[in-house]
Amino acid sequence: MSNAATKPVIVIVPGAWHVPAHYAYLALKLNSIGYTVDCLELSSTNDEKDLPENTWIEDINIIRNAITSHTEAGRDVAVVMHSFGGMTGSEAACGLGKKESETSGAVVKLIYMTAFMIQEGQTRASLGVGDDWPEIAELDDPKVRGIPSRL
Amino acid sequence: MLQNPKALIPLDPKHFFYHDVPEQKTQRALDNLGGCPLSHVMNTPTKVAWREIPTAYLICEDDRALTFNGQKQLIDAVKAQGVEVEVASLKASHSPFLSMPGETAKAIHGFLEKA
Repeated sequence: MSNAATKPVIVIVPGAWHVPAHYAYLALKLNSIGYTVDCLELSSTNDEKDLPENTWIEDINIIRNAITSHTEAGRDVAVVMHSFGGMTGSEAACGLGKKESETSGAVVKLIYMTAFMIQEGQTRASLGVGDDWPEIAELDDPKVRGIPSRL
Repeated sequence: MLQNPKALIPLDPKHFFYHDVPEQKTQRALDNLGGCPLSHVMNTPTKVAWREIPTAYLICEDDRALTFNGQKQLIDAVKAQGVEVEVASLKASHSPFLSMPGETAKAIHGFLEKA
């Protein structure tokens, strides 16, 4: 088995509502087979007082900065995206692959872990509802009632 | 108004996310859930990295949130554009990192051995 320095760093992008603590068991298992794991805390899960103006852009920046911190240090990276993390992660990793990257390390693999590997322009809501796309969230804010909730 | 982090809340997360996760772990997972503004999930990527970086998909066959059929539709739509997607499957819920972390780590390692 190759040592940790030659394996890609695994950057985990959590799904909606999820935080690094949810992925701690997986991170430990990956550590035990020689991987360094960087599980990200995204801005979209913050409390109201710490919420940035645009969580979508902020989350993409958090993911991209985490990836480049490793690639600039000469490490390759695998991005493991869970659920909605596939949406922000898909955009954040653009231009950081082997050919495009100007740094010595690069993103060598994208791993969608039951994640939204979608096309440009698609939103979760545009995927519709039904057995294949069940409604799994509800609006808890009376000010925004009436807007469909489909994550 | 759309920036309320509690605007969108998961509907029955025990059912949709954690049905195969042991009770104690489920309770901690529920306690750890953060917020999600509605505005966040109404966004869409303007570009997607699976067009340029080798891509793999870990299917969770018993997922009740992003269902097996839903996952297959996503994979087929990407493959239809001539992009190769390496696929592995687990008989897991939406949270294989909680119900079968060892198997999940092995599956990830399997994708990376060939990277």
